[in-house]
Amino acid sequence: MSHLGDLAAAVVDGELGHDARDRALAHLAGCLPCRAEVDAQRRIKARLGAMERSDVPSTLAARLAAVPGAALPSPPAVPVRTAAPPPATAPLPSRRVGSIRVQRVSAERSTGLSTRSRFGRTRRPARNRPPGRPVDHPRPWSRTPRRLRRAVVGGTSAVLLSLGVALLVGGGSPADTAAVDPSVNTFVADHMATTGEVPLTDPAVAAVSVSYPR
Amino acid sequence: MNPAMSARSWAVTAVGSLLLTGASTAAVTPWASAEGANPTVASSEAVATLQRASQAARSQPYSGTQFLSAWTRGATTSVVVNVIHVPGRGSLVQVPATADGVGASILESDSGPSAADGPAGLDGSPAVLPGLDAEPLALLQRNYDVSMAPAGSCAGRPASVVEVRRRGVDASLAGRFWVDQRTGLVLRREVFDTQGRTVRASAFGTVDTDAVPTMSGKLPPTSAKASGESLSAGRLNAMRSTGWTAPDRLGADLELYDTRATGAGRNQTLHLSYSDGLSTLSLFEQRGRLDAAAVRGWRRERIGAADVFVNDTLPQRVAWAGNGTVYTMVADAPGEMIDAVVAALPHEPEPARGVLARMRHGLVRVGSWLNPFG
Repeated sequence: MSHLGDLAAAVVDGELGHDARDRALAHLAGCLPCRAEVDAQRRIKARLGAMERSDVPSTLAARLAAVPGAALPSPPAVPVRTAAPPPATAPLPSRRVGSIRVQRVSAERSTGLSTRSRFGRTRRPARNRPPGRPVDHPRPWSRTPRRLRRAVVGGTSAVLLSLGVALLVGGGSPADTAAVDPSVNTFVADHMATTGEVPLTDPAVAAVSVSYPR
Repeated sequence: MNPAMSARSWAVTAVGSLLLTGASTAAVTPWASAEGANPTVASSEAVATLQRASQAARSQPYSGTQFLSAWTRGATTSVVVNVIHVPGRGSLVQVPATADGVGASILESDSGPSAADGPAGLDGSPAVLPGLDAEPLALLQRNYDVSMAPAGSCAGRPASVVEVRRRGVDASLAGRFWVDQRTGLVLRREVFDTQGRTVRASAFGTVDTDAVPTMSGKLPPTSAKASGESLSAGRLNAMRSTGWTAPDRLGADLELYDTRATGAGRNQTLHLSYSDGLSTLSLFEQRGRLDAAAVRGWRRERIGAADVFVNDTLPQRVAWAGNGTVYTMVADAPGEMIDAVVAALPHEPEPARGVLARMRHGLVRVGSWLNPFG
């Protein structure tokens, strides 16, 4: 393995299978750039998790529960989280992340509920969900494809950066620019001198000109 | 009408009216007195005639009454002036007084030898009649086809008529010169736009080329020569690299043939002279935003995407601001040519005030930097 690449994100999210995780951790032990990458992604994840969450009104949850065939239990005692980033967690040592992963995989093996994807990643089993979170009410953010998440974050950053640059180069206020009163009569004289036209530079010429509106 | 209007004012009005009528007729029909005798001959003869006219403008003394008229989108303007030219001394232009305005006398001195040294040669003294200085003549040959037309007359003198036509499929008439057959002096000049309308005309009503005129008595102050110092190609390029706009060509045919700069720092003014040989245009650039008081009384006009201020006098003045620079154009050119020049130069609005407007302005600027065709 040269570097983890995209697997770094899977390591941070704890979504690698047993063997893949072991190989990744072995690589991290000896690869400084990948450790830095994983550490940076953990910090980002922690900051996103620390963002304020919005709670769904209890009436909405009740209406959803009333939908025929819905597996929702009665309105939960705690507010349902929606569209929120992963829970706020401080960056964990890789060893601890690894131990959690081991437990999850063991649970899958014991129950036969493994949802390993064709990429070697597994979905989080229901029994490993934090207490108080409804089992059948998945968080949209966590279900968003990782690449899409990264694209959203990257796109937002690019837009903000572009707007900042635009604000900088958008010019100062008019107060920063001097008001110019063009010396038109001097300009006309200069024009006449460089073109060889009859020098009609005096304002009196305009006064005796005969003008007809068209 | 003001009963106190002087006879001279009446004369000016009458001449202007006649010119208006005459020029309108000329715009739709061939020049009446150009019927005639001589067939159209090769363009080399036309070039030789114009070169002779260029020399005569420097070396031939004359005095007379001349009218100038201009037809713009906003107005038709005419003025009658008395002109005296003594080679080596200069030109004295006297504008008759009217009831509405005081007269004026303007002296433009030659830089060549004095009258005592005899007639001036081709040594740098300025041409007096427009459009036939050495450089514009070369430009004229580069941009237009010239040919002889049937001979005509002007101010009672037989004249050779040179026609100037645009290159292209239509080969439309762009200008005509009436050149005095005896002295080579340009007696009349007309300029037409692509629609065939007369946009400029100047001609002698009376002219005397036999008696050497004198400039006796108290002469008015000499009008200033073109101010500032001429810029070398290197200095011009250095200014371009710091954001000054100085294209080598403007519109389809106007070529940059003279550059000057005055002042320094924030007070610096860049003067660019353009011509296609028939029409001339000076562009003045200054850093800053246009002071509204400076263009009070000017006509506001929308040209393409640009808001400009126009003053329909002789010559026509157009002012606007764009990208932190104030542009003032002084032009003896058809309106369509002025439109093309304005469109080719920056004409964004004043720097934005609000955050959103400033952001939008910044995005436009960044976009212009990234545009490979901009």
